[in-house]
Amino acid sequence: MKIRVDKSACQGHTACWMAAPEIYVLDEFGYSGIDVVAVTPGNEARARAGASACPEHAITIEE
Amino acid sequence: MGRVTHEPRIDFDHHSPEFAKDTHGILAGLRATCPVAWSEHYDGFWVISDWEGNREVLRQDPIFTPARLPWFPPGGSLTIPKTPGDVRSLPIELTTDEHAPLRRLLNAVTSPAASNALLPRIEHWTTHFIDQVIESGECDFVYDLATPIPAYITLEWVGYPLEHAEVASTAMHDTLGQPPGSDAFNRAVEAMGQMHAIIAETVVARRANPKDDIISYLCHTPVEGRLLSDREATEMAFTLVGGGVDSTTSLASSALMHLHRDRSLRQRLIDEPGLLAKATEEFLRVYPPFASIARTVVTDTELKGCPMAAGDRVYVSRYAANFDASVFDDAEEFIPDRFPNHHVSFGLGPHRCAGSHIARLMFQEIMRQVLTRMGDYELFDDRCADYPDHGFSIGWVTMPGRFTPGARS
Repeated sequence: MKIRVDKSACQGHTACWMAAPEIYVLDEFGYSGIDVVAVTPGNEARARAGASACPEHAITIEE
Repeated sequence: MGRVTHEPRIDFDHHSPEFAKDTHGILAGLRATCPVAWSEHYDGFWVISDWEGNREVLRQDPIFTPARLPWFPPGGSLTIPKTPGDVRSLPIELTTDEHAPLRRLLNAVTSPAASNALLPRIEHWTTHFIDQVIESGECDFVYDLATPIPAYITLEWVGYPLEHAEVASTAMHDTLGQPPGSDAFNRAVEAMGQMHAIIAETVVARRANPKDDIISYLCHTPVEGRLLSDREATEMAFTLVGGGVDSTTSLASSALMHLHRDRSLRQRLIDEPGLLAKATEEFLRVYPPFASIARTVVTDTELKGCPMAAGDRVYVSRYAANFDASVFDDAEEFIPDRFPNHHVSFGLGPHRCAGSHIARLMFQEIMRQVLTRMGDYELFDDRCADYPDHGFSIGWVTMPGRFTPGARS
């Protein structure tokens, strides 16, 4: 499973980070610090929760 | 593009007493029947009352601009009607390209990490103001707590001289909370001018002698190879004060009223402190402090099938979006652990509230201390008053109540 963050759509709400801070790392400005990341086994549910939290729909999960 | 007919027409006035009385019902009716509609009040404006419309307007920043463009009539562009005066809300009232570098400057000091560094001061001021009333067993939860706590935290952070703090908190709270034309409102408008002058003087002082505060940071940090002018730094600081001083006040007052009426939820929050993080988002959804925002159409366009003309004003109702049943299951219910919670109370798009992280921390500390130190509080319903005008903001003007007295910290 992969997470893909559309950084041009990220507005720094940090909803993903509030849901799963160990997966959705932020940059120094409080915006997404990741673009494409492989999800480590066992973290799928938290990755999905973080993606679903984004009010800008900037995060997609690729199975 | 065809001729813009400005239809469907509705009779909608967000500053009317009728709207203040039935904000929820009026917006629910619009959302269900015509989520994009035209009102003839205030020289005409579009009313957007669903979530998707909020998103479309706020994401298309170059087309629905918050900027003051030379060919627009004068005045502040974020409200309908326009706010008088030539003090801009920066970095909001700029075009998309002008906004980006100034917003980056702000993001560096409002990120979650930077906001967390404020926690000791947030705890300090919350403790301080609760200490002032804790022994008496009675207070006004708005004027004694929800107003001064965010005000002092914000003003100290910005670098505004605290000896003039009351000027700023009165200016912000009473321009939002008192009826236009009343003595209290007029005093608050005067205080707003004084607050601007104090910030402008502080900018000049910090330019010469920087301290460890945001005004100094704004004066001395290069942006694309230049320093902000005094006017720009003043307008940035003025906006931070305006955004920080009374918004968390509104949210905290609404939440305290909610928990006055719902004792079982209050008990749950006392028993499960970990619930407060998710509940914060639900309080934000149900009680958006800044319940609307305005934009101006730059070029002829279309929104959800409605043709719009360049120069048209657009009223975007965050409140209405937050109760949109196509986005929120059981939208009418207060669900403290709702997740995900795509409320738009901090806005969407590039102008998302920069102070959102600080706001959450302030709100949560106020709630934490009230629930632990004054957990049995009750409000005097007949003496509480909410804002008489819901055009921009919703919240409580005054909220007297009592609780079992306790010891100072």
